[in-house]
Amino acid sequence: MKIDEAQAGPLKTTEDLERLYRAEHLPMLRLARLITGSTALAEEAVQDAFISLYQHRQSVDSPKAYLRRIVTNNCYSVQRRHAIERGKIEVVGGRREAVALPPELDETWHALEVLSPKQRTALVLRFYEDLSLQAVADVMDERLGTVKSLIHRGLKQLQKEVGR
Amino acid sequence: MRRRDVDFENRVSDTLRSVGDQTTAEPEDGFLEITQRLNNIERPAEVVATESRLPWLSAAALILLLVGGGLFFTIGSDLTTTGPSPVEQLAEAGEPVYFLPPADIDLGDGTTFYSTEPEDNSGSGIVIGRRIEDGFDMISLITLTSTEPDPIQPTVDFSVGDRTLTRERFEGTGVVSEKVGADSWIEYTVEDSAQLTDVVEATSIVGGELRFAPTGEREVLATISDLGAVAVSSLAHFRPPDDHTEPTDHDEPIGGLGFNLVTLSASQENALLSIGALGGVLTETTVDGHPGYILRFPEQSPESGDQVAGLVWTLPSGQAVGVISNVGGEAALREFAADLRPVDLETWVATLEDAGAQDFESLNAIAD
Repeated sequence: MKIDEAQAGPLKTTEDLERLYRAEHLPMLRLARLITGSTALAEEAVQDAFISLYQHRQSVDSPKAYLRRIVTNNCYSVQRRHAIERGKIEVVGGRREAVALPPELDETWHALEVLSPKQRTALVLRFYEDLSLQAVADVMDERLGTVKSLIHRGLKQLQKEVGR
Repeated sequence: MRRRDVDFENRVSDTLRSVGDQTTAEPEDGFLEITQRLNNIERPAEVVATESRLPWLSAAALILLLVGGGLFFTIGSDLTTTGPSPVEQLAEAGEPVYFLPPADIDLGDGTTFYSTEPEDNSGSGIVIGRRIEDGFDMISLITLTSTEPDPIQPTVDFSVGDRTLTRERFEGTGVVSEKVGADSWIEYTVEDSAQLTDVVEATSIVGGELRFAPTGEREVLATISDLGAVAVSSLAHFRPPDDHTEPTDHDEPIGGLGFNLVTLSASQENALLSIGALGGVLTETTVDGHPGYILRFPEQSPESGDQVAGLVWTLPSGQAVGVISNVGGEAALREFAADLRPVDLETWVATLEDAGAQDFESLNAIAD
């Protein structure tokens, strides 16, 4: 059952957390995978986010909005952490996992590698999550103008890549 | 917006949705792990609260909460007018932040400048702030990009002094692009279009201080842009101190080596992150006897004349230096590294500190 934001209410118990987890784990995992390009990193980012949500539950009014924001932030940190732990940075932006896609979409998926993490995040929030520009800015904790610039430049960069 | 752009946005959206749909998960295992981790971290707070059988303690806690909340509110209110600048807030949040020298440039109307560098080098570039009474207001973001101004957007020429810029209009936001190289533009983004002239005029002054203006150095910027390195957030010019009288290798242009970007960081980790943002693979190496890493791009042929490579190594002082080259590859970088003597770097840092720089967590420099 999909938990509506209004129904979700504040988290009080682990049972509340479990309900939210069942409803939001997959959407958050998808969001994180699109940003990081890796299911493993996405899992880590999402798990950490749910832990953080529960730890801060008393100050969180909107669990779903909090989750989206913290998952986005965690995506940056898990990528950095793994890069440092390996001691060898292999494409910090995240290597795209292979997926079964039509050639045109596959090309776009791999082209996302060239974008900066913030550009990628902005595009995912805008074109996958269908958030308004202001909502993207809120999630990323960036100014509206910055988000417009990130999306504009990200799209141009992608077009350039797939046009090669 | 043109049909082609709409189509491309749809293509991006379709791609993301297709990949998203292919992502599946088994929530049971994941939630079990979460509960185990929670159990290891702490006893849930509400259990502690409900076990309290002393009503007066709860009342005292409530009073404390109210008093504390009032104090917090009071302090918070003060922060909005007299608290740290946005840069200082970023620094407190752990962002590598530093002031470019000179830290404050007063245009007479109170406009001042500062710079930030996010950890992920996502190109936040230079931020221009205006000092307002007791605080700062962040008014513009200046970034270097290889993206041509969008001809689809309604554009107009925009003149500031003898500089002609292209202005794009986004809803409610002003973006001005200034061509600074064959394939390189500086973008000025402001929340309020009315501030564009101020901001662009202000960069003339910053440009002078930061060696932004001379044509040759703009071409260096363009080279960095071509590399895809957006870590151009600090534009301090790498040069010998002004009182330097002995000729050194630094007095000769280094551009011939194809060297572009130096990152001087307090730690090797930060330097690695800056250099690693370009992608590629880092492997351990030694530079002049000091431990370091070389960045290689496997898809490039080692024989290629325009081989891109990066090098990070640690100085005896503990500081880390990162260098990126877009031509000549590893050999050019090693040659450059041999020219860079630690004593010069330390003198350079001291000079910048004297000039008012506040934090050298991560200093980037561009050499020509």
